[in-house]
Amino acid sequence: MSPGHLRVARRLRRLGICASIFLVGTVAPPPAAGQVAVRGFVQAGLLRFAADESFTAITGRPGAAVYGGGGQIGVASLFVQGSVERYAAAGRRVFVFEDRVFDLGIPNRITIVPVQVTAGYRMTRRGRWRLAGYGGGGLGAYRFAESAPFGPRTGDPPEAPAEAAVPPLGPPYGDEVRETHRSYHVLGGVEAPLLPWLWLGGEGQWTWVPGALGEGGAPAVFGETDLGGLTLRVKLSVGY
Amino acid sequence: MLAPGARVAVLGVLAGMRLLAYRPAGLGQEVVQPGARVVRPAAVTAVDGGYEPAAEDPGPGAALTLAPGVPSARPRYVPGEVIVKFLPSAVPESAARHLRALGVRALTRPRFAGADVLELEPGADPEAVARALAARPDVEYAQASYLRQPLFVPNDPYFAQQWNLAILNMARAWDINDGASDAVVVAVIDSGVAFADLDVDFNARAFRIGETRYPALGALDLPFAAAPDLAGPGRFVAPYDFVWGDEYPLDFDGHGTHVAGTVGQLTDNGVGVAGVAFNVRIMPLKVIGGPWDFIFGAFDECCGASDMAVAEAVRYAVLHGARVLNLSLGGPSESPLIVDALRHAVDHGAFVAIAAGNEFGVGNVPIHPAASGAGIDGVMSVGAVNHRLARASYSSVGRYVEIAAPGGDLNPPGDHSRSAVLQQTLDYRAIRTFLSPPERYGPPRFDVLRIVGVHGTSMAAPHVAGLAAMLMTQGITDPAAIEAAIKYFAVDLGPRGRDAEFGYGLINPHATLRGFGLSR
Repeated sequence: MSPGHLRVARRLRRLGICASIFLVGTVAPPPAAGQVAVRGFVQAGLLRFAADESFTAITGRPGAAVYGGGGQIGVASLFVQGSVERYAAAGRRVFVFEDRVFDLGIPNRITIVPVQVTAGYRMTRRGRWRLAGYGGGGLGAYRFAESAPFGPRTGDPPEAPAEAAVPPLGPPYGDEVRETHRSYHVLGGVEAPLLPWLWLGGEGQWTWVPGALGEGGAPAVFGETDLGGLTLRVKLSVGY
Repeated sequence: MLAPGARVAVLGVLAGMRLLAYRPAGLGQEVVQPGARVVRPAAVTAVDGGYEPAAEDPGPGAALTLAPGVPSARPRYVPGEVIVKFLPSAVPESAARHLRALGVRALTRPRFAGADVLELEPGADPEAVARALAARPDVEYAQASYLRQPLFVPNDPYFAQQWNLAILNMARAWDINDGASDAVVVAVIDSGVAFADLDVDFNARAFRIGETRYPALGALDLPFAAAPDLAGPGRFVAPYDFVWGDEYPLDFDGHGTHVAGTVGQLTDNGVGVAGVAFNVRIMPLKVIGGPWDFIFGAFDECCGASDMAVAEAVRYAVLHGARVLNLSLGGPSESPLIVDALRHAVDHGAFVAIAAGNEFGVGNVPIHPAASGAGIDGVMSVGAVNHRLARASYSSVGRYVEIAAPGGDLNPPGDHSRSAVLQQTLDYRAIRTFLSPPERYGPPRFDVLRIVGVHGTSMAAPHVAGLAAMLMTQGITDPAAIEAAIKYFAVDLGPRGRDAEFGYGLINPHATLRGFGLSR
């Protein structure tokens, strides 16, 4: 089979899977009152960090797009959900002096992966669009990684003197920071069913990640200590 | 400083005016008089040649006093000179009358200084005249033309290792920044630099050290060699000698060459030792006249750097593109002239590192221009630490000390292994023949270079100048921001926070060059 035929076959298979899910969804009955409802969701949004001056200094923007997904279990009006998102941005290491930012030309990559659990309450659907508001709060873990991959200069550096009386300053090569911080959040939103098994929602979330920043780096200069911020996202859910 | 028109009027009123510049070299002269020199490209370069002092007495000469040594607490100045800066509002007739009454014979304006030099009648007290002038409402400042000294304490010339770069972790700093770049010019305002292969004719006059009389050596044809671990194609920019008034800032002392080596000794070249910012270009500017300058007749007051020469060099450096200036010199008297020049330098985007002084054991008087320049953002006063990260025993202590860098120290008894800062410079044994007894006194050799260990805040300051050059390359172009970065990332030593011994602490090149990320 030629590569072209293989691609066509793969597309047909994906279409078949999607069609199966759609048919199952449309023919399946909605859960009865008191039954457990299960959903999966994907979400995308915009995150603006509380430490916006620091992020602006390093990445050029106070926030960025975030993508993720998760699952939700509901009983009556209550639900519990777990979600994972990812934020990534490339910037430069800087020096900040009197509100001026000097780009040091050293690449700096930041990745943040929030893993969060939320408990919430969903109100009864009302109106023509059967909109349902919901709200909740929870906690999570912010996995934070930052890397500045400068390495040894080419060629051998001058031979290290053997009699230095003190340990040398600083780390040996580059910068690799990997940390996890506890987070807290509240969220609220509205959703509407597009199909009996498909919901489209919009929500806002405020997250606190206290103490994650500020011991060094640009946040120490700006007096910013919280890695959290405001997220506005669109959420597409599938399930019952 | 008078406005141009007013200044012309004063000049017209004053009689007997003459230039106070040092006599320039007389290129092509057949007979070399004291105070003149003939410079030629070197016929032969002898870097590692032997040293054989001449023994014969060339005959009598005018006996003059030579007083080499470390800075003293008593301010020394050029006799018969006062430096003054008039306000633009000064009235020429009034100023001229007052100047005549004070015994001023002439007024001249050096090219780069931004102030005027007054020549006084013989016997006039320059400090008293300066005080009288400073009291006038149309005078911004007036001062005697003080002499500054190089801030070093010589030590044994042979040491094997550069502990100074090890404790700064320079190898890791070079991971981030490869020794700055040739786009950055560092001016070494000092005793000159061994920067060129030249033959120069001098006439060495007689002199005295204390009661010991040394004979005139007469006409000398002296070879000079560029330091091989410092020189390279395009390495030196706009050299100038403010002692002799020409473009040959030859180092007769070794101090400036050593300092230049710490700034930018060629590195990773398999030769000698390393420097901090080894890719910069160096602007050798000679302001410190040493014993040989005196013996050769450049001036009659030995030795040091006049305030006018220093101020001119600072302004000259900026005018010719230097972005970093190193001043490993100082003296106990304040100089508004130099402070004015330092402000000019910073205002034009240049960072300045100044040695804080070696006075702790000799009264600990504040040393200028470090003390008076430290308040300028973009000018840093540098103290010295030894290889154990303790304050060097000689390093001046005071509120003006802003930062510390390796400067070496006196050795503990029996320890000669690792306490000095090593760089390639002139072989002191070959140039300090005037320290021999008169019967063994002979011509110096300025073409013999060795790896020499020296300590002093003079040696500490060029570490900071080199780091500043690297930061310029890295993207921090504002002198005040460079100072802020160096302070911010310094490793705190001594009492917590800023203190009078270490300032904000030891420079930390790796961390400073790395700057801020989000987490550190």
